[in-house]
Amino acid sequence: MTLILSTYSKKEFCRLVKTTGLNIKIGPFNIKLTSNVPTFLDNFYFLYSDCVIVGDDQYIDFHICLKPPSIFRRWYRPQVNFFINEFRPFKPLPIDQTMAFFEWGLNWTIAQQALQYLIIHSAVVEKEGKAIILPGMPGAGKSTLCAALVHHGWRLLSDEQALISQDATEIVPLARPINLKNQSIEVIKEFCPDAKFGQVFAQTSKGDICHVKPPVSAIEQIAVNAQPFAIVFPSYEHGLDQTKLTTMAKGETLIELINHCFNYTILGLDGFKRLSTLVENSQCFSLSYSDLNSAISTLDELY
Amino acid sequence: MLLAGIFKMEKSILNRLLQTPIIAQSFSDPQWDLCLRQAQAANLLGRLNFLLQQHDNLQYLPQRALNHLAAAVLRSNKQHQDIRAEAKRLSSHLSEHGLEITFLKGAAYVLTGIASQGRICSDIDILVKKSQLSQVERRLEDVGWAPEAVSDYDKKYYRQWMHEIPPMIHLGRQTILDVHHNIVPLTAKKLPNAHQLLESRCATDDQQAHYVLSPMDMILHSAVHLFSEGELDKGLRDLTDLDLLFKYYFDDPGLDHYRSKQLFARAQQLNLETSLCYALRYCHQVLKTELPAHSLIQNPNNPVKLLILDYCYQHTLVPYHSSCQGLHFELACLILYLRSHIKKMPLKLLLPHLSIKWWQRAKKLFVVT
Repeated sequence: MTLILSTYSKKEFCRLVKTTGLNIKIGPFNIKLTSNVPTFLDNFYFLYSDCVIVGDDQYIDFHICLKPPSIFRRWYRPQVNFFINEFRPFKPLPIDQTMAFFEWGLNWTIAQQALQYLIIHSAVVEKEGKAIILPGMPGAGKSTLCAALVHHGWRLLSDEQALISQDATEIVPLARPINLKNQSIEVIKEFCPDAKFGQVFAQTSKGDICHVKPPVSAIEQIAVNAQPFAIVFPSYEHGLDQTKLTTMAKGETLIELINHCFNYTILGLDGFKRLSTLVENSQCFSLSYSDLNSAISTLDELY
Repeated sequence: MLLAGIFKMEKSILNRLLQTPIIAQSFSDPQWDLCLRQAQAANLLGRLNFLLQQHDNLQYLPQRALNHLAAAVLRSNKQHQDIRAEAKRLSSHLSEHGLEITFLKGAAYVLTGIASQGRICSDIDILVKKSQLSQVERRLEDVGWAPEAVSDYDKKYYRQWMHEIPPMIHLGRQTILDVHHNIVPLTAKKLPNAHQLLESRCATDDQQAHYVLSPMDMILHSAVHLFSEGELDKGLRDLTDLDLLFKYYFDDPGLDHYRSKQLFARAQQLNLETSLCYALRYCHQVLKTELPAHSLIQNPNNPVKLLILDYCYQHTLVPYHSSCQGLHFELACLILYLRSHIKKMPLKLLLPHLSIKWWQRAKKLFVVT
């Protein structure tokens, strides 16, 4: 039987994270988490409660630690540091943003270190085993669309990073919380009544932030990869009266996607080959929308 | 109990693996996990991959560990590509103005392929004639290199006492460049003659000919650098460099005796024989490298001093990772830190210098961000 996080009581979980560290599986990665920041522990326990606990006999990919810099800074304008394998890649952030810091830090860690994947900055959702990649610049509405889709019959693979396998025929699920910003928090609260929300962090460097818990189904099927099916560049356009799905040329899509990759340059020729295979095997579109219902039904029609 | 806590066992599983590659066969997953984290802390992840490969030991690693090693190799390959491109730009730009540069350390290893396996470099080091220094600086500024922001005190210190000028940074590509005119600080008691180094420089054999030090001088430079360094966070990495440089130099058993003698003679000529002896000694002690030149070492120090140095280097030539750091480590670091400073400058220079540096650090600590 696999053990999941919520099998631990909150107290037991906190004890573990504060002392030896908690081994947990997030997407394909084994992570050891150590922290003593109470509000973060609350949020993490809520958002990651369905994830599988990993035994002490396993190889851990990322040892992550979130701790205040010094005793002094615990009282005066308290801050928190992010450590990956004892290395501190960022300056400290205010302690009440620890949850967001963990998410950003883990994104960065994966983008830097998981070079077995070609990683595209995009949301990925799946239905019938076929995945739609939704790359988008910040503000294009990819997370909003992603949150809406995964509460309307689609499976969440990722909100932030598409992990493309070695031969580019599969996308590996990450199924981490969806990161909503500013107005989209209210939009999704209204549109997806069954969505579970973490705490709202006001006024971070990226505005107000709130995490949506991944649906249980996404975590349950974490070991099931999906095949690339379509690449859709979403863009939210306020007041648009009709959803527009426009076919994009493959070459154009490839060049556009390169700009959305985290590790294209370092993978060199292999990166180019994977990306071309991916584009070759996918339908390519751009999607302008303002109404979530109509955007969802437009994507439904692709199947 | 308390004492045991203070003298916590310092154990570097990486050092054990480097000494005895065969133990790889019995490592558990958590041991590999620790080993790779230590290697990462020591900047040796990419090199570890090559060492494991060399002994045909990659088969004993779990897939997750292999992924991390492969990633490290990709990162170092990419960096080597960037270094070659940067070197090409530097050499061709400066040679247009009749200025000649010689690549040192990491960049030289990458350009020659000697000791380049998985090597990560934080900057590019070049050696120029002191008489051409200001010209080189000006020409570099023409193409986007600028002095990195350092305090006025540091600037003056560099110019007056150091063997290099303050680091330069390329404003577009953010590459860091250290321009040297000697290989040890000018305050050192025994200064090698930089002209002698430049006279025996070699050209790399690829199409774009770059200059690097001769294989012998590369060993001596690496040795003097490591064994006069006061902070050894990259010490273990540098020691593996030396190990590879030695193995490259002693590639023909028939010439071992001849080459040993040559190397010692060169070291004497450049006033670097002490560093060479340390390099051989600690490659042997820490990495268990068998080197032909070993038999020629005449221990230069009194036995007590050597005993202290053995203690220091055995405890600091480890990964800078919490699992390897205990009281012995801290003590050894402190001794080496003070030793390096005392060696570099006379006390009447050292005391004011250290007080200013510590004051600068203390100020930084209390600045509220």
